[in-house]
Amino acid sequence: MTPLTFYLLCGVGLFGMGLFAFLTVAHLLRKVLALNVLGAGVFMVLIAVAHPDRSSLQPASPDPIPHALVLTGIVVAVSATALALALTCQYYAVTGRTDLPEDSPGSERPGP
Amino acid sequence: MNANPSANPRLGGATRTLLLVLMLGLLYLLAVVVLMIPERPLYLADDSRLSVVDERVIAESGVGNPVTAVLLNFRAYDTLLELAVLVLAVIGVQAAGAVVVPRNSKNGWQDNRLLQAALAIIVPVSIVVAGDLLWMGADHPGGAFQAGAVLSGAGIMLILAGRLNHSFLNDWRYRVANIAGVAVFVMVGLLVMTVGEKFLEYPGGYAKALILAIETAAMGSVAVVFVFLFDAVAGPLASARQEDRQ
Repeated sequence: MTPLTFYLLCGVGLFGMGLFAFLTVAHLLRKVLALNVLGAGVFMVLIAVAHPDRSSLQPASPDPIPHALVLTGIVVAVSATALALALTCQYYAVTGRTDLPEDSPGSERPGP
Repeated sequence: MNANPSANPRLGGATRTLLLVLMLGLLYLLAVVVLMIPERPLYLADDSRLSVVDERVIAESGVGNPVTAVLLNFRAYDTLLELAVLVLAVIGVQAAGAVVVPRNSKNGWQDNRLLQAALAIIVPVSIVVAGDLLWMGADHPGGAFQAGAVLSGAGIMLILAGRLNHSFLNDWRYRVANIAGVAVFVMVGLLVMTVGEKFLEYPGGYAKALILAIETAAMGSVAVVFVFLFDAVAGPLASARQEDRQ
């Protein structure tokens, strides 16, 4: 296992942790955090994949396109997180809840 | 915000275990696939620009840093849309009504003289560092987004210290800075069309100057947008936490 394969596997692991938390956690703030962890995993894979020679860590010029994609992705992720947090705040202000109601037919939805 | 911070109580133990098993399977598949990605990018055609940026091509781009060359020349469209996303996020946050939540302006930091004195050093240094990052971005790691992030850090400190408040939202300079990145980008793109180039294809020799103009505007946009987003989101979150404590 070279450092780069380690980075790749860590990225996959972060993605999995984020996805699992996103699916199982009810609190909306935690869901937003989970999405960010998931995104960090994707970024990590993209950064590691850009290195042209995975078996050594010799300095080599990486493929700039994945790096540029990550740079773009970070800014978009920050904006999306801010929007999600703003919506969560407003949802809390309106309903007083921090989790989404369950979708079950027949049951009355809590809320205003 | 006082709801149950632990796992979703409505998710039964069996469902959870099944989900965990499925996730581990998915992770295994993902790990296998990720490790199968070829080390050297596949060449899609004879033109290597499709996947890898050649060093000779970078020399034509007007900047020496390949990442900056990709961001502002070869894939300038991506960056233009990214700046549009920033404006959209601002509109979205404002539409979500986060700004109208009254903000508790007294947070105890206004009277901290050490912080106020430190700001007198930190803010100017941040501006210099941002300018340096912007300029260095041409040939080294750095660029508009890193510089904008540093500037927004200074702005967020000013907000936390009570030196900057909501009134900046009504300032025309804030509004101009907000859209400056997208506006300058589009204007440069259209301007080069008047001399016979395609949209966002810089005429030879002018690439560096045009990229620098776009980056300067983008830095300003990133800085004010991040400051706004932080202010709009952190204010309500802090007041919600204070409500919970009471």
